Amino acid sequence: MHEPKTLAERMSGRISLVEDAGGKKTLVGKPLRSTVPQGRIVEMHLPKPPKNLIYVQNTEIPGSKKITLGGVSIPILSNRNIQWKGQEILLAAGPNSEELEDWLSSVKIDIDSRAKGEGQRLIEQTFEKGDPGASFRDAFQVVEEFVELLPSVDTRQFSHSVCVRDGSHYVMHTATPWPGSVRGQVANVLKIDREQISVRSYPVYQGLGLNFWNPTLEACHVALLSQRARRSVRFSGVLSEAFMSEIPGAKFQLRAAVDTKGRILASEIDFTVFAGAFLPLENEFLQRIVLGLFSFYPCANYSIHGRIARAPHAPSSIPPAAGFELGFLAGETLASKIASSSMSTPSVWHRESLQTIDASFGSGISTPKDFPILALLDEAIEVSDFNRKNAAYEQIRLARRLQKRIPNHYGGIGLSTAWFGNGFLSSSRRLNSASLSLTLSRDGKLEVGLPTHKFDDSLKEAWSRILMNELRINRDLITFSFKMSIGDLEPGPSILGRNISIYTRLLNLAANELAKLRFREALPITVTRTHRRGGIGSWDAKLFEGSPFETISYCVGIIEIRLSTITMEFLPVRVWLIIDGGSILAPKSAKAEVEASIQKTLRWCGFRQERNQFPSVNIKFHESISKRQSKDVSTIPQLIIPAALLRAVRQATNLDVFRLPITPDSLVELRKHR
Amino acid sequence: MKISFVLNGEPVEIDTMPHRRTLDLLRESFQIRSIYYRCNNRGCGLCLILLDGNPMHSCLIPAFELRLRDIWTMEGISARKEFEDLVAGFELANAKLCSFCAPSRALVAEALLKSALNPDMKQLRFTAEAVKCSCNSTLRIIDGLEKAAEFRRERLRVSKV
Repeated sequence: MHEPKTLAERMSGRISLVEDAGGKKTLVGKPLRSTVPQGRIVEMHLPKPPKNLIYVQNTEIPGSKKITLGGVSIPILSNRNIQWKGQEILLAAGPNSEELEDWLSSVKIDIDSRAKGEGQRLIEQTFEKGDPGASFRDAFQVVEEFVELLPSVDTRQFSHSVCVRDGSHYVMHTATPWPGSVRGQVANVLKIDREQISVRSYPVYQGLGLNFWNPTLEACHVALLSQRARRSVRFSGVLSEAFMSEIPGAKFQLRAAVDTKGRILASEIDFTVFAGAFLPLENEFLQRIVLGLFSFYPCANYSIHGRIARAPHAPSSIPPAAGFELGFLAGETLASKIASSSMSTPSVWHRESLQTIDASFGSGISTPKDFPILALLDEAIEVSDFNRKNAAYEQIRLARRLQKRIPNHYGGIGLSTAWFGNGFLSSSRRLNSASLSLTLSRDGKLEVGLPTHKFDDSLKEAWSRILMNELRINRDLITFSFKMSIGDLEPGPSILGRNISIYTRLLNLAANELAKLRFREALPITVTRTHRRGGIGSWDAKLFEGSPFETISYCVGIIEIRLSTITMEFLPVRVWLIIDGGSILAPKSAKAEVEASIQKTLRWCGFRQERNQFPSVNIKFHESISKRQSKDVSTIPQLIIPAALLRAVRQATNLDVFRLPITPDSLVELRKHR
Repeated sequence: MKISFVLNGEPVEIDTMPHRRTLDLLRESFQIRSIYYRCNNRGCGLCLILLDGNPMHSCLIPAFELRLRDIWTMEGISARKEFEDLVAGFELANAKLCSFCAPSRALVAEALLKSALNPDMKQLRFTAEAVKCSCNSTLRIIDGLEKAAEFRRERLRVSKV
């Protein structure tokens, strides 16, 4: 695998990407996609292909006709039933791209679009505890909320995969956050031994979401063509917008029974996630939404009904926190409403609610010894001057009718809290596996062996510092290699903060072991450390109690906005984030990543960055006592910002804004219907 | 159609279809690897080249437009000493550009510094927004551009106005 190059090498373009793989004799591959979302193929007429052009249909797949990823099985090619618009029906490859396109355009397919395809099932789950009905009867107040998040598409999606044939060996060139899944799936589809396949992984383009089903599916397509043609084949292209994968949207209907002190006694929540034909990691996604809905606030009685509605679009990508984004948005918006309808100010309500947390928070997650949320909240309120600003904006909101002239801007401020669990809830071995090796050679060189390349320069530098301290070794002697050998554990996806939390722990463990062995055993010494989801407390997936994650990052965020009364556009002015990310390995890089994440989230929420000034950002890392543990900090703004922004926009507009992304049109529409 | 132009300071000539995309021509016929095909509609800025000193999207330029023009890509720019200013600027600003956007960001930065050694905020923002990649925030990119400008002024011994 390719080691990420230095900044100078990257800036000069001296880095090879997937499209650079393969030689001049590599065939060009293309799929024929369905132009209708659903239907049944009645008849397909294939004209005689030109010389050197080959094609593959569903019936000609030698092995498995589906790939299984994150609990869902996605068909490699459509058989008779079409399940989404853009689904691949046929694959073809040839030496000449134009000739190939001509042939594909002459294929005639008769599709009965009245016939319903497969995959129209609705996944439903209900999570219940206690007696919410009784709590609602006895409640001092019932607070209701409705939140809607529209699906979003990252329009810069592309498809590049290359399969290089070397005799009976297949080298898959792919850019995916989960290279470990490619080898197994391709072997199953081609019905060959895994040892005949190796994977070369390339950098992944950072889009809005995480799409790991498409690179795996495409790798299978290109491998099928390569097997048939006995030649190397490449897939290269940009997906049409109609065929792109979306990040799911959702609708939440929330009710909470509250006592005289503003504490949540019970909640009833009903939500629907709108996904494409498939949603990889759907169970994980649903459970993470529910965990996000609770946020930090304990609730003894609840009834949560969640469902995933599938539509005949391309399978969905998942957002970077795999569902927490949606859950925290709805849960924290409800919390804001309870806070504003309580007798105390929002900061006091948050403080009192968080103060009552002792052994567990949210649904029943065990609190660590150094639970930092109160300290984070106090600091955020102090540095942002939240109480004063909130009182001022609230005063203006309430006295709006008395104002004789409309100002150019109204202001608003929102506060939100969130936590982020590093890793998966699922105990699946395929998702959780990770391994790292340290090899100290005879000449004193230390090689860090990692299974995937997705580790940036700053993380490598931070790891080098750990190794220099632990083993008293020069930086020049430390090298990083990225390979997945045949017998190795196939690593799980590099998502959900696993790189930083799990691999840093493995590195520490391996370095400790190597420090002990280096004077006892003969060189070279190799120490390997493997992670198979061990060492964490129990997690009750039914009751949502216990310790679901190895490490949890915490954050309190405040956002101050201005809303133009002329254009109805919101402008974020300042953002404060106080984050507990454990031991921060590279503070400057971590800060840069958090900033980038804030920008991405604000765009996702409807902020038009191109026309406006970027807000002033204040990020502070609160280092807890668990010095050795490092946690992900780059995902957490995506859990904090949407809810805080929604609250700030509500204050500035004096409207019950319920939909993200927030657009001037939607605000004007709301005002009309008030 | 025979088309001659100057690529990275070297005069070149090629016989090709006039409607062929400049992006494909440069990648396939001249092994230019610093431009990428990602959006096909001016949406990402990863295919930017300097056409007579101006950043242009090579995915939108037909090959015949190159006739007698001066083309620069990062392969050529990075061979010059001034390239060090760009690297040092972005490194000092801690903008760890990703593999995709790094060449395009460097290219537009070079175009900016060629036209303005003391870029104002409007120019900086325009340059930072020319490449749509979410690996770094706009603030970080602007900081990198400002620092690169400082290094360039130092190299040319020009003081800030």
